[in-house]
Amino acid sequence: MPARAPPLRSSPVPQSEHGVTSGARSTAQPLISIVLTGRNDGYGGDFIARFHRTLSFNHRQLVARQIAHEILFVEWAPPGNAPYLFDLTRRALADIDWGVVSWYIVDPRYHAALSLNPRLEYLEFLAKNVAVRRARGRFVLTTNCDVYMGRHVLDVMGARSLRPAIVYRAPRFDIKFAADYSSLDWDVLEDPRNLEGAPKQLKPPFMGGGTGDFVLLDRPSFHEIRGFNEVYRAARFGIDHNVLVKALSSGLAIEDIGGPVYHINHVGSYRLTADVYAGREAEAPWGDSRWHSRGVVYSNPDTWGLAKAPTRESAERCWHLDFSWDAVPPLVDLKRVVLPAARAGGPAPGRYVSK
Amino acid sequence: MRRLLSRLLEACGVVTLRRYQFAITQLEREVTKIQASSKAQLEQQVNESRAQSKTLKTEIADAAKALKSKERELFKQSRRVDKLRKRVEQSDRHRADLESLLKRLIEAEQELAAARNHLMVVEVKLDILEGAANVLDARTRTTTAQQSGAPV
Repeated sequence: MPARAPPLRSSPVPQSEHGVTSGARSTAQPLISIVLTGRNDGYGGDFIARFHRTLSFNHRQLVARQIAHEILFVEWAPPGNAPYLFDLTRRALADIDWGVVSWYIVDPRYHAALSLNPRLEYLEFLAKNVAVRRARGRFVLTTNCDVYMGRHVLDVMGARSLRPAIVYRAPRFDIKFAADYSSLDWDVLEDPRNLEGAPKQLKPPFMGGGTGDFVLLDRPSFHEIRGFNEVYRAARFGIDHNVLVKALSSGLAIEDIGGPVYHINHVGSYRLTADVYAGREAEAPWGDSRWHSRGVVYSNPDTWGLAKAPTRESAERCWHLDFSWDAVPPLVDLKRVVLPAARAGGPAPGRYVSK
Repeated sequence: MRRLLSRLLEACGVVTLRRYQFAITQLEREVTKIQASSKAQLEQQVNESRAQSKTLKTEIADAAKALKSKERELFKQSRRVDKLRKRVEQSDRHRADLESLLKRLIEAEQELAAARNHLMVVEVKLDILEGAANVLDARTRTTTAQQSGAPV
């Protein structure tokens, strides 16, 4: 691995009224804030190539439909022996309008300070919260680096028909691992022969399944529920579904947006490797999948999304979140684990599943 | 002349003896005929009345039989009604018992659901505590090892 380039600039960035630095340059509010997280750790074999292909595709489609958007990328706890993903991406994707990108590099010490499970390699949803907290768009979409937006999803965004207080979900269609996707287009994505298994359908009330790949909600509501669970930091698995339980418990609705997003299977996909840890779930790198993610909810502290992390701009459109214990919530804050509220006409708040 | 005289006498209500006797004979014959006819009719009516009487007696006997049968049936049915009434009363008691049990079952289910919910919360909290204990243990070991110069 080549040595990491030093930060280009190191100047403090003023904090906003919420104590959170927004990396936005333009004053116009985008319609959609797209939240992504990743790092240069070779996840899934060819992570960087997959990410760049996906980012280019989605950005191209959004621009073509004149959907005002910003892309917030959180490079969570990057390995010390590899170049930043930011630098690689900036060089590789010169065709992207970097004015809409805000890139946050999170000091690896946050991962060590926050994790409640040494096997967890990535606190994906804490990383996403960093961007959700700093998003400026009217709506915030949390998704993943290898998820392609479907045509219908883009059409709904383009029609400006999204409504507040609704968590929009999209089913994830998995594309076969073996296919060659170097020149990926709609023909490849929408060809049913490329699908791995039957198309999935979301089931009410939670519309769960591949939730981490698509959660779209208006920003005030996302901030009202304070993002994803930051109290239970012993697993990554289930945190995405847990936000749906929290949303329903908070009086938000959940709807299927009406069309899929596409995910290309790869080495290390949860879908392909879940069985490897059957019978020894606690050892999985995504945490024990049997925790009660469908039965309890959380009340994140005011500092959610590393709001108090000192931020400095290290390059154009790139900010570092430096480590500070002030930004780290208590290791244990048990009163913030609560039962979801049952709402009239709503689903049962939770279901006990014994381990 | 004789015929004329005879008509004049007839007009005055005087007839010849021969005609008078003929008329008497005719009268007696008719009376006899009428008497014979009345007797036959009376006999027929008597016979019919007897037959009707017999039929009525039979019907009365049948009705009496039917009445007895109905009385027996009524007795049976009243006994069945009594039994059924007792069973209904028993069923009512059972229903009340079942309703009470159902209410208790619903309450037990609600308590179980609440207990499970609290168990979930407790288990999640235990996960957090266990994770924190492991993290703190690792940090302590690292710090101690660093302080003592031993390998971590």
